Amino acid sequence: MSLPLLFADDRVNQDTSRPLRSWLRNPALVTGFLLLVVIVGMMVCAPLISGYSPNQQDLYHVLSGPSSAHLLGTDELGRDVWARLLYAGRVDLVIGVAAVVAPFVLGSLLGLVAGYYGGVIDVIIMRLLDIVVAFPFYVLVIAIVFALGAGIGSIFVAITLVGWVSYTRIVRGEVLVAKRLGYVQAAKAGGLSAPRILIRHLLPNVLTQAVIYAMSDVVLTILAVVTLGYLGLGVQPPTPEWGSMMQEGSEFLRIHPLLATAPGIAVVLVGLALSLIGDGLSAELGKS
Amino acid sequence: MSEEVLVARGVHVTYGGSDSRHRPVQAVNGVDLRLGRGETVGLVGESGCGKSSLARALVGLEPMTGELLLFGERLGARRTKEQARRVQIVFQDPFASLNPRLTVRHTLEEMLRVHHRRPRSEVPERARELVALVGLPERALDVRPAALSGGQRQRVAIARAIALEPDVLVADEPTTALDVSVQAVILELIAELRERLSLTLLLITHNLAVVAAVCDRTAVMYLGRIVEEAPTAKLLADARHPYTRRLLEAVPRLGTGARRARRTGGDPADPSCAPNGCPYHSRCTIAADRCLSALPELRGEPGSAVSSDPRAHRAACLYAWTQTDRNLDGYSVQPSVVSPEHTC
Amino acid sequence: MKELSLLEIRQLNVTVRRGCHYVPIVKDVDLEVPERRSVGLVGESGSGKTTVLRSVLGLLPPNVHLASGTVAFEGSELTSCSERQLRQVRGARIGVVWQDALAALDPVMRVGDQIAEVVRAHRSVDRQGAMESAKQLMRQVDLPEVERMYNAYPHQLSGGQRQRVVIASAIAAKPRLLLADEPTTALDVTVQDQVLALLEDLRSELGLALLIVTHDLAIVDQSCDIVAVMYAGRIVEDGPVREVFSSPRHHYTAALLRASPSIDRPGILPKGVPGAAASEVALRGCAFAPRCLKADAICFETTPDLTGSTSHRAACHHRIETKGNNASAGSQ
Repeated sequence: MSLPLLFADDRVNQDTSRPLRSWLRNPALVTGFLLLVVIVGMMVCAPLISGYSPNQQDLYHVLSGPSSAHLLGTDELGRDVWARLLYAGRVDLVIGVAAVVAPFVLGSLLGLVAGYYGGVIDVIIMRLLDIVVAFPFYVLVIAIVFALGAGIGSIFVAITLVGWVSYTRIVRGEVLVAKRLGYVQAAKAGGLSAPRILIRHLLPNVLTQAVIYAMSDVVLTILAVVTLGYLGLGVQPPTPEWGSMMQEGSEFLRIHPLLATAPGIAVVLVGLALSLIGDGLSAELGKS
Repeated sequence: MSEEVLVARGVHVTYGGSDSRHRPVQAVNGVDLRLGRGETVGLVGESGCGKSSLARALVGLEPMTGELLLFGERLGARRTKEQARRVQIVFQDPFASLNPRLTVRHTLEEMLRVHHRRPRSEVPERARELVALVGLPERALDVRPAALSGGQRQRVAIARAIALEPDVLVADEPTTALDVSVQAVILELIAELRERLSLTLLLITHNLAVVAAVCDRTAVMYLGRIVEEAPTAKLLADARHPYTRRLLEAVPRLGTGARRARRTGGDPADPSCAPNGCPYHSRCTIAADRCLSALPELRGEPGSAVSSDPRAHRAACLYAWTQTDRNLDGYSVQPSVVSPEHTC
Repeated sequence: MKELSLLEIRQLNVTVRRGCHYVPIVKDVDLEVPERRSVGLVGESGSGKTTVLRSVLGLLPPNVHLASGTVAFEGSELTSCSERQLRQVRGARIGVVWQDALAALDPVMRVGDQIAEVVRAHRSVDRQGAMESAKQLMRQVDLPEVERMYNAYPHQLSGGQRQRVVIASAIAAKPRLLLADEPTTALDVTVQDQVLALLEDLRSELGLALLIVTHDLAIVDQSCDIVAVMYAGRIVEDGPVREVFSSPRHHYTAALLRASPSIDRPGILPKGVPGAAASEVALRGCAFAPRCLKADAICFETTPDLTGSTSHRAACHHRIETKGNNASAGSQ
């Protein structure tokens, strides 16, 4: 059934998408990733390297400075600061990452639907978005957590209810462009159903920007969790958490500055790692 | 007369009526079109004439008013999957017409599966056949569009369209974005396929040379209306509408020696600000006062036996059949009518 | 009698940086534009024709380098000029018309002012004088209602009108040479016709020489005296337009001619050339060999030189002969 040789076009190039090699050459991506691996590695191995339980109190050795027994000293209840730092990191990182998932999924879906269908659906979603955006992020989050009572569950709910808007905007914008492209139009003309077009054709091609944004959103979410912890609205004691550690340590800034600054530095390092990864990803994914 | 495959009557496509800031634009302003089985019909026009809007309306991608009949069956605003299958389209831009994340195989097999064109077990074989049919090697199946050239991607787009075994294939500027040598190959491919598959083809282009090569019949569009329609050879040899003649004159030709081109004539009119009367009068070299008030209808040569045959040569000009002189071609002739400033 | 060459490009070699390699994209190009003549540089995508144009004025993108070769304009060497010296040449002695007029014009500046700006940059006139000159130029390029259009912004104009504004800016300082990169590709065919006619007339009125880069053979046939055909970074054939198009010597030229559909030959399908246009410079052998029906072993080994009579040259081991018993160009 094939055509004569003259029509044939035999030169098909190699599928040149070999992202891994290019990614390995990106300094931001590699540095950020290594840093994150180190940090996460330390948290994962916390029980092995900390030597103490984070809640183990030693009232004979309160507020002691760094020593051979305690790497970073002890806090006001004699608890080992290094151990608390590591265990708090577990809490903050997990919540930070997990708390991005729900807004990402919700926001992307809303953006997909708003962009593709337009009309009334788009108007409703965008007006809702306008309302949420009218309030400063922290005002809303704190209000919701306060209303629901402090705790991890409330943090999740609050961040989801407030954080979806960025994803919706990003994805909707991408969809508005993508739905005019030939392959989506051809799918429509080919009689494919809307859900199939949305999931198979649009979704994989519009999520790139949202994923890149999610990287920086993890940083922001960790900051939010830490902030809430500082305000006493987040993770409740005795669970160690960087924010509450900073709040507790702020009272002793003059005699034991490490109590408040160590968690702060930890937040900075995690933020740095994630930002570098976000930058690197943005550069790599943006190349296509 | 061969069987009518697709009949369009009074097609109107309007953009932007709901937005109170902008007046609605009539992209397609009352078009009648007929496609017979096995016919290749060309639709030519410049930017703003509405040919792409018409193409999209025929395929169901654009809302339209008017009547559209496929083998006598009415096609409404919402099409069934089966109705959609029977009228397919190939787009202009090969770089946007394929999903970058899917391999060629996935793109083709998806279409085959969704429409149950073959039993499940035969789908991969059919995909292989399709790829061979458009002249690509089998290994093209397993690559993503990024590995293919523009011409190759266009072949895949054609394969995707014919995978559904449509009754009508609409090709919207299928070769415009391609190099000349590749363009010729795609045209040869389209010609070959329409023979093999008895396709009815509507080829849309701004390039008169392309319709000359491939189309049995050609319609010329201007500002949302068909202004002339005829068998292609007749259109090229004896065009009756001033716009068609202007187009023919303007096409640069190889091998005819340096030809003096025309400097006057104005740009194609903007569809959002269409004049009254004949849409072309503001640029026409033979326009008279009558042309300002009356909208000419598509008419065949009066008195000729075939003037009622929709496939005869018809032109929408009050002077289509009465001009005998050649003043249309004189480039020093200025428009004899100064069109009044119409407010928009 | 050899005409005076306004622009002489000799052995131009341009490379692009890919990773750690320098890949040639233009190889050993010789091109001449005589005074008052129109030269068409023809090729498909990837042929390097736009790069040659940009090299003349030193307007190459950051990772593209002019590796070797000379570009002589009015006798002086442009490749050794400093940026400042080149700026004096650009606009004043050599005008440029680009393909995308919308991108070439400042969207927030009135079109009349943009033309006036060019006038002021190269001639010592005051603001009023520049404005008058700009209006005069606008009339010269057939822009209607000059008084009103002077104050318009680019987005308010049609494509053809914008291109005319670009042409007006290009000739504002009365250059001797006009470079045009696909000047009408984005325009409708009737508008293209007008713009080409305009360029023709301007050429004779102003004594301009013209170098047009395009993929459209018919435009070259209509508007140019001399044609140079490029493929994969090299010139494969050049000579007087009439001669090259009626008796092409290189198989690529012949193939291009066969592949162009024509309204004069209704019902005749153009003949395609299998494969895609090569965009990589072939360092060994002829780049067109894989697609050429007459290619044999030598075509794959040795790069053919551009030879022939002084006016009509072709780089081919198996040139198409029109005299003699060989099949003439155009068959097969």
